[in-house]
Amino acid sequence: MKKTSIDLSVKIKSLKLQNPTILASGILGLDSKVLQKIASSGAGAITMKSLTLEPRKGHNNPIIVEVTSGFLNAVGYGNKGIEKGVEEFKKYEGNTPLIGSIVAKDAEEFALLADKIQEVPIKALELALSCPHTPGFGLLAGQGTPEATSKITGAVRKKTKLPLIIKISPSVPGIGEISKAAEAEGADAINMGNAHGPGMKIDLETGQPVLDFKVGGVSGPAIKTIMIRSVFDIYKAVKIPIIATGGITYGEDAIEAFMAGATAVGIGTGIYYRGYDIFKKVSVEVEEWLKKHGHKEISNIRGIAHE
Amino acid sequence: MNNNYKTAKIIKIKKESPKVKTLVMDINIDAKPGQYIMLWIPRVNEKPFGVVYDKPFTLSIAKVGPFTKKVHELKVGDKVRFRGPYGNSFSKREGECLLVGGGYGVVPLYFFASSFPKSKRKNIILVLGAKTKEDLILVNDFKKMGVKVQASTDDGSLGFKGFSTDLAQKVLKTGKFKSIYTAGPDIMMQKIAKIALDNKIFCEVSAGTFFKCGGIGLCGECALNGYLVCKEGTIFNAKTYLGK
Repeated sequence: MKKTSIDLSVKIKSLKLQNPTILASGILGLDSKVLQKIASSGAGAITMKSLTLEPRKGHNNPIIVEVTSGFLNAVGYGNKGIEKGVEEFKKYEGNTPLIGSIVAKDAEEFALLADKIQEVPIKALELALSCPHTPGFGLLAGQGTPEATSKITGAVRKKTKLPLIIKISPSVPGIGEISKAAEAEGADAINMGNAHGPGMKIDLETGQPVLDFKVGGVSGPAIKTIMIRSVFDIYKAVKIPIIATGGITYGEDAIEAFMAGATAVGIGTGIYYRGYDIFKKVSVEVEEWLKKHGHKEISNIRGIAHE
Repeated sequence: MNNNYKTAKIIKIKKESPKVKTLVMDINIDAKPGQYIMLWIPRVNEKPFGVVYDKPFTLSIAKVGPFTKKVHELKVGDKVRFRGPYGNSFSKREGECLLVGGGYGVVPLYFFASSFPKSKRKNIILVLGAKTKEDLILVNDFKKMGVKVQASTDDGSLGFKGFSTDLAQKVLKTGKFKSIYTAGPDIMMQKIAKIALDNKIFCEVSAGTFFKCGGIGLCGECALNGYLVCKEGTIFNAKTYLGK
């Protein structure tokens, strides 16, 4: 890449990203070697798949199905559990910042996991309060409210000085209030957000929902417009940075998210469409766009949709 | 979208062994040797199976758990839903070729051997191992195809008494093998991959593992040495497979 004067770096408190692209949690993030591969393909940061207190098998297959302009998934938090997860992610050796991710049943359990996850050299911690398809977690545990957000954020804030990111759902009312609750309890960023939904796809031949859990979260280009509007709403509600996740596939999607008010973008499903190096591709496209439009850094366009 | 589910009707069922049934379908698919499909039984599960043959679409499935038990209950005339094929395929080398299969894991090697022109199949030797002679499958099919078969059984009920890896080492000494392809249990394939590296023979392994998203490549469950088995495999060279 030619050296230019465009600065793609962004900061969320002490979390410094070379470029604004982040591997979203839940995608490929079970194995430290795979994470290293994504890091070396140009991601600004990478997020591990969320860890739970106990190992979880997750839902039976199918856990994912392709739909128009995206995917529907109900993985059900299949993971090794915090102890084995910590061992695995300790092996991560990249220079690209690793963001820890945890999910739990309640504030106490979140606090417990927050303690343990810091054995891994993570550079930020994300709490997902927003899974639409796993009983006992996220939306299905009532975590998608300002009250629950406040309690959980507060409990974890006491446990860590790391930048704290709260990942919320685009599918609940009052995302502004939820974001404010997180901010008031000391969150450093809002990730908007999780997969949308839940949605359902029925197989016409068998008359059965394809996903074994029947319903799942919608991801990919199909949810981009909702994500952009959600980021726009949250930007009005809080001062802390926003990570825009949901349908980011091309540089122009990221530009749109920055205009709505985002500081960085999360990428997950996009890997299916553009490969591991989507992070590099999106960064280059963002850089080219900024250059073409006479901007030297992302902050020049952040939130301009509000002006 | 290759991820769309397709329907196939079972037109023939053949019992290969007490554990394994072969299902012949009413359709042709376009698959390459080494590829797999995801077979779906609604409200039960969805699992990967190596393609035995693509024209007609054929699967050989061992009864090992609740899902495959359901598969074994299927009758001629029943329909199944599947997506795929997925994954990469074996790469061929000229010259003498050794196949090492373990139990019902031999399936992808059958499709691979059949993809060689008839005149070249005499250069192929299959070492097929199983616990006992009842568990050796597709032996006659390989022979009919023109492949030389050497069997090993743990109990000595047929062929060489002992492990397929030991027999493979003996067979390797009898010729100038240019390539080794192996499919079966991990412990066997690891040994074969090491033998191949020690002898500096080109070797590919059909890695089998636990698949969740199965071919889509987004969930990461199947990671092996930093590779996604479901998308970047299932065929790996010996070095990558061993993580060297």
